[in-house]
Amino acid sequence: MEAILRAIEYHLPEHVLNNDQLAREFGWPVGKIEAKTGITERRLAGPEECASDLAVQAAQLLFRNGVAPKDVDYLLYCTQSPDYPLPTTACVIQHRLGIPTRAGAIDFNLGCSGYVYGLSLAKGLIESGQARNVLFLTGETYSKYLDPQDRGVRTLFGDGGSASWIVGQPATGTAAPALGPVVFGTDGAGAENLIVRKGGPRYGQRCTDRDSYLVMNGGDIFTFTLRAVPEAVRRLLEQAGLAREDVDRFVFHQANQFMLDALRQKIGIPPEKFIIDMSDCGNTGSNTIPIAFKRAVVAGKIQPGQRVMLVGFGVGYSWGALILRWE
Amino acid sequence: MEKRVASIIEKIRELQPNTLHGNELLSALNLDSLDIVTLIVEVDAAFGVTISPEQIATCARIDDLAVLIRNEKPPRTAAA
Repeated sequence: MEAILRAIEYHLPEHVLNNDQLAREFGWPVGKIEAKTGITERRLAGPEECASDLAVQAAQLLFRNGVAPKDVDYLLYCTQSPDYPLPTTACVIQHRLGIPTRAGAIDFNLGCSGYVYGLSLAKGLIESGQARNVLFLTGETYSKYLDPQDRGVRTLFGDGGSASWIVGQPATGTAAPALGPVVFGTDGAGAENLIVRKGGPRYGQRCTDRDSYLVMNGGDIFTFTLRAVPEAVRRLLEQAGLAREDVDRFVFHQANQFMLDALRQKIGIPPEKFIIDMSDCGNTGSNTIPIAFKRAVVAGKIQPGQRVMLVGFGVGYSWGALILRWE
Repeated sequence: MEKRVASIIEKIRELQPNTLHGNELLSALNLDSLDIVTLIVEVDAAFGVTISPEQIATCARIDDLAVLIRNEKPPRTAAA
């Protein structure tokens, strides 16, 4: 049995925060925000709207398009915006979606690398015979962690949810798997460079109100990214026995336009092979890859049979890269 | 290299070409966090060296930055 990514859906919340509003708040030229970030607007969850609500909406789109809740053997939910410290949000989602009680369900806490890790986990579950069909959800509401005065993060981040359907199919016996290979990377030395301190016990009573906000050291994140991502791409190509030219499309975590342009040029990827799609939704953490992927499929930029490289990188630091064949 | 580094900073700070000569204090140029990010990316693109904000903070002047980049740059292999 080999795992294959069969379908993707996503959902964005209704409320829009555009550059005009931010420019008025911060006294920045509208053009400068778009020029640096590549983002014109972000979609933000409502006060009582959770990341799981967005992920559930995305899953319901899958269920309206041929996937049945009864067929889910395992639910993976990637989030850094859980409904509660406990119970596991995936358990709550299982009940909301009417997924059989015989299914497994877990949360895992990753941000921008989460989509690659989730596909890898799904592949492991399917190809080891533990599950036949995996529903993999991502959901983030970073907007709830943002300091209203911090223009650096408010211009970047938006909220969203995604749902991916990964199934087992008889192995074709061809050399290239439908999902994989994959390479990983982790460096907790960068933990403090993208962090929300409040909510966990590590800082305990020392936390101030400001510690409930996301802190991002942008320069350090750029340095990490420029060092780690090209090397991950090189390792993945080597592991897959491929040249860069053998990959038809590249879908990286949609961090911001500036970072993506820098990475594309450094790695040497032609612009026509490099998917950038976040201008109307911003950096939505673990959702960016499935959103950009789905839109590229709908737009005909990713065609059946094409080999696509996904690369996630960010908070942790954590990174991962994977090659899949889109069917 | 000193001239190229000065040129990168002129571009970031939207200064006229040849305004900077290398002996200027980086602290006097008022580089904000977005400027630092841009500097990291431009240096990486120009010299193939990825420097960090901490490394930049150790440089008092533009010329110190050029020395840092030179020291970080892997030695060129001899042509065959």
